Amino acid sequence: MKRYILFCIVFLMSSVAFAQTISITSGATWSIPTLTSTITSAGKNYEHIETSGPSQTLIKVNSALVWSVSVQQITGSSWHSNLVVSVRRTGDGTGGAIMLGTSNYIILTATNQAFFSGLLGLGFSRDNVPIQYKIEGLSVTLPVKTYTTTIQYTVTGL
Amino acid sequence: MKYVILIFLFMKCLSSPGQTTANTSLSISMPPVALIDLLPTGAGNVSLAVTAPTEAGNMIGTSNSNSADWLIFTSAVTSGSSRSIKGDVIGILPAGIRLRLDISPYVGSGVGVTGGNSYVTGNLYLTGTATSFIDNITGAYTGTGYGTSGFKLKYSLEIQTYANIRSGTYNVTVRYTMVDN
Repeated sequence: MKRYILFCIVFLMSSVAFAQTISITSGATWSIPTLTSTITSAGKNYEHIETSGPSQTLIKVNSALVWSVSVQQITGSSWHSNLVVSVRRTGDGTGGAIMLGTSNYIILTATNQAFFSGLLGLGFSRDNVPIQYKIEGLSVTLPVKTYTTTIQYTVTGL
Repeated sequence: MKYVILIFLFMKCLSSPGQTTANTSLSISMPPVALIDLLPTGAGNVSLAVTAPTEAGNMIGTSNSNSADWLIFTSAVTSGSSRSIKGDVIGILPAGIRLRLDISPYVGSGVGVTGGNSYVTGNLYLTGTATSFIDNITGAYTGTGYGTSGFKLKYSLEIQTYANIRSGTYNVTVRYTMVDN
C-alpha cells in the first residue's frame, strides 16, 4: 500500500512538474508608432513618459508547488540605452495559486530580476496576470528611428 | 519492475524543476522635430536708426544696435544628419547700408548645443539670400527662458557704400528658417 501511495505521489509530482510553463496570452507586442505627446514649443524637450495600458500583456503560468517569474530586457543595436523600460504587475490574474510580490515598477536591465512568484500551483495555471510597461528617457537628442527591444519572462520552480 | 518505474519517475521529477521563457516586444518611434522661435516674442519689432552728424564734414552715426531678441530651437534628426538655421531679409534694405547680425554663443542648460554642435558660423550680414548663421544642429534643445537660454541676437547697421545712402524709413522682415543640411 505504501508503495502505491509513494508511486502516486511521485507520479503526480512528476506529471505536474512537467507542465511548468509561461506564456503570453495577450499583448505580445507593445508598439508606439506615434508618441502620445509632442513638443509644441521651440526650445523644449519631451517631458512625458510613455505608459502602456495596465493590462498591456497578460501572462499565464503553469507550475507545481513553488515558482517564480523573473524578467529581463534583451537589448541590441536597435535600442538606445537612454530609453529606460520599467515593468510592473498590476493584478493577480486568475487561478488557484497564491501570488506573491509587489506591484511596483521594476527598471529592467540585461540581468534577470525577480518579478513575482506563486505558491501551490499544483499544476493549475495562474492566468491573465496583467503587466504594464513604461518607457522613460524620451529626448530629441535620440536619433530619429524606431527603437525595438525584447522583454523576456522566465519561470522557474518546483 | 515497480522499483524501476518508481526510480524513473523520481528521477524525472528531480530533473523537472525546469525553466521556460516567454518574450514580448516593445517598439517606439522617435519622430523628427524642427521648431524655431524668437524670444521675447515671435515677431518682435526692432528699430535701428542712423544718426545724423551734428557737424558738417562728419559721417553719419551707425552705433545704434538692438540685442533684445533671443533665438531658441528644438531639433531631432536621423543619425548622421544635421540642420542649420539660415536667415534672410524679406524686403529692400536701404541702399549703401548693411544689416549686421551678431549671434552670441549659446547660453543655458539645453542639450546638444555645445561641443561643436549648433555652432555659430562666421557669417555676419543679413541679405536677400538665406545665409547660415547656426550650423551642425543635430538632436538638440536650447531651453526657453528669455535671457537665460538660447542665442542672443544683436542687430546693427553698417555703412557699405557711403555714396549710395539716402534718407528715409525702410521696413524689412528678417526670417529665420531651420533647414536640413
